[in-house]
Amino acid sequence: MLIKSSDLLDFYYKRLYPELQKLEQERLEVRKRLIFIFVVIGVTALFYLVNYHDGAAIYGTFIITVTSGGFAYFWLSSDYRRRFKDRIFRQLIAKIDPSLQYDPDGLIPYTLFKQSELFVDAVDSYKGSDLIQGKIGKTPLMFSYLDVKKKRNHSRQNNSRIGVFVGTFIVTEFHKNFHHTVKVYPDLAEKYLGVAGSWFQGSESEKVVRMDSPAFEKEFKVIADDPVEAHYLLTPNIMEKVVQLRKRADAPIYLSFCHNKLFIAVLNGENWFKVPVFESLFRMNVVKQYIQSLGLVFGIVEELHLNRRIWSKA
Amino acid sequence: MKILLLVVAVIFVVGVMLYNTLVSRRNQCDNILASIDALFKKRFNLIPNLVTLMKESMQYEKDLIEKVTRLRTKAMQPNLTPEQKMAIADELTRPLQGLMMAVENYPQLRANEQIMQLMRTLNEVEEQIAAARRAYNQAVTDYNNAREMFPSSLIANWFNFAPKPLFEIPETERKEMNIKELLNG
Repeated sequence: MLIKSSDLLDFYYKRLYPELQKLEQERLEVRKRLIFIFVVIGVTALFYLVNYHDGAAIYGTFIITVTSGGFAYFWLSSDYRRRFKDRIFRQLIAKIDPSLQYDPDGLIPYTLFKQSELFVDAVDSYKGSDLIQGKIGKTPLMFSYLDVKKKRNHSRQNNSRIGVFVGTFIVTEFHKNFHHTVKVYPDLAEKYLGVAGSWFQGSESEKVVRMDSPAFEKEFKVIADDPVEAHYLLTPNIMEKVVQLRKRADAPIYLSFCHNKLFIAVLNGENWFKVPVFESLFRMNVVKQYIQSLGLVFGIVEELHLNRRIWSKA
Repeated sequence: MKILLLVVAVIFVVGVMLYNTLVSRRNQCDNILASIDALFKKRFNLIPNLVTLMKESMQYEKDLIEKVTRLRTKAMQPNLTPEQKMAIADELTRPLQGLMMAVENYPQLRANEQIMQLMRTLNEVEEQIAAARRAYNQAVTDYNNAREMFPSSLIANWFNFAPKPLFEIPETERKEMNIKELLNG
């Protein structure tokens, strides 16, 4: 962490709390309006269903209710959410390191997402928000929330989408030279099937490299063309730290070393920087969670010693 | 009769699969061994330049320089077995690290960008060698497990798949070297 958590706590009471007080008033107003709109939509839907209750009407009403509810939520809360991000996130990030830039509407470019080679499905929808970028010491780092979806199937009848990746996507520079791509995926087979899973993993592909850390092997599987390079990049220290990171994030983690970069995808299924609308802003947990999430990402540079420049890549 | 033929066919297919697994794991070990050899050569190619640049300034490390040069010559001899190569490489690790750490006492060497770049490259090669040893040991463990576990042990015994020894990781490679701090500064 670039700043002590006690300093951030101090900052919370001195700078963020007065802002939160103003925003809490605004949130209550937005919530009141939203509840009113939801009640109106609900009562209208109920009235309609009492008169028309065949299958098509129920299905149609359900779709219209959910869509109009979602639209109302985003429309009525957008100003409040924008102000919250500007006043709270921007200040918090600047406090951690003034050189960091925050763009509420920005996202990791699609080319970088593709470059990671972690998710190879044909993408149909690529959205995201809350891009934070800058340098931690000597190491450039950028991350944002991403919501990437693909079509469920290619038939014309069914246009529904399923998630390819929903979570936090981190891109940073890796300090060692390497020539091949090394990818690290969560290992569900070995985690749940034990030895049988590892046998299955071994027979699955030639490119699976078994690593010399039992704790890491239990959680992850490594795909690499060159086993020596995989061991060179995934040192015992890095493997230990990746296992710890996975525990702290409490979500599946994917890593990819390619194009001289390290890509980390945390599949947490939600935006870490979600603005609360139906929850009180005075709950310490709200801001604490943002601080923890930021600490987790910025901590990666320190934990993985990415600022060390002791190799020929200066 | 048909059932018997089917059973024989299944046993044959499984036997071929197990044989192929053993061969691919043995080849994996040999490939990594070849990578280690290539890394040793890379290391040996760096030493003469480093020694030439350091020799002039290092008054009190003549023994270390001599030892590094002697071991390099010894390691370059033809027809050495992998075990012998590894033993000489282990022997070379300590004086080489000693030499790199001694640079700390010579400000004129620390200011020489050519030497610092050579040291960074050498440090990179050292770490690659350590990684290759780990990769080799893991590959050997996988191979030895396959040749000892039933039913692949039957195929391994039948086709004389010999066990492979693990390389001992030198204590110097397990420790965090002070050299990292020197280069990082």
